[in-house]
Amino acid sequence: MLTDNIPLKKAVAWNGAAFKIPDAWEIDSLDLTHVMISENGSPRTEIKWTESSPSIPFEKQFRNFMARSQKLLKIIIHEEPTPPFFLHSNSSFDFFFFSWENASSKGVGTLIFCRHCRRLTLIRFFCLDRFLPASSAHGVLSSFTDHPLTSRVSWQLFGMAFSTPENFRLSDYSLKPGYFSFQFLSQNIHLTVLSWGPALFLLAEKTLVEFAGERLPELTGLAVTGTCDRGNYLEWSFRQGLFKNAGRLPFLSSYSRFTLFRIGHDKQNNRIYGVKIDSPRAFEIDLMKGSILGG
Amino acid sequence: MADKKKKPWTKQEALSCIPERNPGIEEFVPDTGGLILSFPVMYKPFFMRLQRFLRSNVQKTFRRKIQLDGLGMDVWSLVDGKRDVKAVIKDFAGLHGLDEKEAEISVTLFLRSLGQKGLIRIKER
Repeated sequence: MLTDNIPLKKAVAWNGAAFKIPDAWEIDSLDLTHVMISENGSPRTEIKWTESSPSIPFEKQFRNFMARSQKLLKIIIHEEPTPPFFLHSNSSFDFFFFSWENASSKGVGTLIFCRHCRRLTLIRFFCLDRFLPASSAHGVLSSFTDHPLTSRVSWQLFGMAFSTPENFRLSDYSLKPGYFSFQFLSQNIHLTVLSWGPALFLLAEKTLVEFAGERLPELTGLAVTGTCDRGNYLEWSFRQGLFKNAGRLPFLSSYSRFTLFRIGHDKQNNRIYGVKIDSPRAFEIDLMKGSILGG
Repeated sequence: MADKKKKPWTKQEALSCIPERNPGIEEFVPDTGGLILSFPVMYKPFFMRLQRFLRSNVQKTFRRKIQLDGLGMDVWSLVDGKRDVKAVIKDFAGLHGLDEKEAEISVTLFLRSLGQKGLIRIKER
């Protein structure tokens, strides 16, 4: 239940939002601005957010978001006072506590407005009458952050953990059993984070080079080897034209892109990870290599 | 007449079901590795009629074979008629160091396809 003192050990970080949940809870569904957490198929908490525009007055934005959330989630919201014991370490957060109900369920929740990043977040908890100190709900709220405190955004879900520079926005993602992919975009630099598993099975009959060649047929040239905190890796760096031999035609050379692809076997987590960076300018690849991959 | 349509299982109910192997399945290991499961399948009515038209000794079933890879073999070995779906998922995730949610999706999809082929039946607890 939500009222007992369960330690929150599992960290979830998705698209800027980060919080901790009990071990038994898991991500049930997610999209770019929404995460649903459940326990054995029963919903526990739902988090939904939106960016608030500085040109629209906050009160109007707040009312719109509340109205939209009530309509979307098919719930009725009643305002509640802030629990007297509740404190959050982030002073830029404004909390608006509420209780909610619909035909089949009820619970409590809060709307958080961050004065730093102007993000409006609605967090609601299921099957809970009120917030209690040392409850899981209180723990989730206390650990919640909606923007990174450093210049890097953390991503932590389904056993994956990595960080990206804050100027990169998630443009696409795919979470299929055995294969995760996250695509980020900043101006015209593409960053793709990939993960395959289980690694021991995938690499049982082939080498990492063969595996990489199968997944990225465009890989050309020889790979250099290196070591990072996740173990040994292979790295390719090459230039891709619009079509084969396009680089030989000077007027097409401006359309070519420089690509860096790093793949490694994370033995501790039994996964194969890959990072692909591609940019129209070679120097950006070197900069990204230094800032994202650590040299 | 009252609608006697069975209510669909909740996730929790589905995960507490016990998958059991079809006793008519034959298993053999090919030289190429993996595991081949051979199981009887009923002919479609059209092919039964065609058989009757072409010859006198009509066979009602034939054996279909499917080959399991290493991961499929692991799930198959966990389907022992004692473990429920949740235990199969947990053990499979532990075996391969997978996140439980990832294991849940892949194992349930695999069990569903085995069930559709008639290789396993699902016993309610």
